[in-house]
Amino acid sequence: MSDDPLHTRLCDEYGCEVPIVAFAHTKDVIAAVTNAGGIGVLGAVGSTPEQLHSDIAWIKERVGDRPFGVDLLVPASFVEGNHEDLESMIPQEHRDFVSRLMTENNIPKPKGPVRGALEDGLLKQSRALLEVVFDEQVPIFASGLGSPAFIKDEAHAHGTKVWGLVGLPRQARRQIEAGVDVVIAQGYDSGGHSGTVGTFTLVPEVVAMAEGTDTLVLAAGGVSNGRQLAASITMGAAGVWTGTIWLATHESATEMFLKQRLIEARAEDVYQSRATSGKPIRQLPSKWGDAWKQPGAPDPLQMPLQPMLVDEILAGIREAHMDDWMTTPAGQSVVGIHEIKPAAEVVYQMVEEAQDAFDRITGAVVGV
Amino acid sequence: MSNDAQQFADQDVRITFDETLVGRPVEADGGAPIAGGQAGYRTTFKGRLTGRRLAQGDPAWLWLELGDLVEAPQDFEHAHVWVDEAYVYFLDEKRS
Repeated sequence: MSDDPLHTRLCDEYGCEVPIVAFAHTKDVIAAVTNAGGIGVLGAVGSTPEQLHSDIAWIKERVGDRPFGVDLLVPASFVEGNHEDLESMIPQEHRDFVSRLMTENNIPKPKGPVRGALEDGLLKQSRALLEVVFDEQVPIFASGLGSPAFIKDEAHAHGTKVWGLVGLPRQARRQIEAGVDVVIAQGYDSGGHSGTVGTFTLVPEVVAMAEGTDTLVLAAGGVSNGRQLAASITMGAAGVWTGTIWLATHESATEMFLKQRLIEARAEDVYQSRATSGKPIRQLPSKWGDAWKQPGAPDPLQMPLQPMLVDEILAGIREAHMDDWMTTPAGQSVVGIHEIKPAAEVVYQMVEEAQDAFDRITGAVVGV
Repeated sequence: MSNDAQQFADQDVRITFDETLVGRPVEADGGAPIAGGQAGYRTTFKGRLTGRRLAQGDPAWLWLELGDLVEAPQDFEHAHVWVDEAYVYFLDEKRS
């Protein structure tokens, strides 16, 4: 075992040099972080199987034998029903509100196609993407939402390790019992579909559950610098899972105006809004989110009605490049973004800060 | 519950009925990806099992149908929801 606190079991078992995992939707970020010694995990929800094949091939070409992964949002629940029934459930008040927003703010109708209902064929779509991950023998499959337990044995047969994100201790217990290789304990401060328990509370509890098993634990939610990396390892995590910090890297495909807003945002600026999907998504503030908080605005509807209601107006906003109205999921760790820089530099800086933090602790103990 | 054929057409789904599950109270952690975007959502349900089981694909991905919902997201318009068996917690069993 290494004396270096940053050389954890994650490094031993996966061959990475530092215990930093980067989740991003841009394949360039994945390659950059992996080549800098971490592990890049590509968020592939929404990809077609063909796109995913292509992205994996691109990454493999650049990282060689280094470890990387693919994250899919495997569902944990779904409802039966057809699109026509659901359309009739959208109240006229909500339709009128969206129409007013379009008229008063000159938001054009989109020229391109509007997205469809996902629940049709949801299970089959998930399976199709999983098959690509296994065909390509991707080193890591991460389930960003539901339990990956059902697919664990098949993944292992293809040489793919299985990771699972959890937002609650009981989910972690189920995944550990199922023999999932890595459990990512994702705290409340994270971007997107965060859990309800804070990172500092969740991580030690999940670490305690995993003691004596082969399952490793990663800390997620609010991690953007080396002090938080050092704290996570001190809490017993084998490393950190990070997302927001990579949005403002050179390699990220995030639009430049959003990168600039990420730099300017404070931790308290990112808020949970139901305006886009009907479910709380932590994200950067925008005129879109603000419009649904104004006096007189109706409460957003639930999934899947809210996306059915707002898909057209959001497509119009995107097509017209109405920057102030656009947003991106982001966690409270946005406060750690101060400039746009290469992903590798983010990795190196985080490592250096963590080493400094450990040195300070050691010095303090020696100095007593 | 009447449109299985339409809903699951071409999804390699088998639905069976397990009488021993009927009426058992459970909590379940649900959630799904959001259509057209790159995000997902998490949610929690509480209710009673209907006894219907669903197995999709090979290896089987197992789901249980939940009804009599006493806890669901605000404005949830459906009487039933399918939940992954891996995240179903029986409320009539002692906590481990």
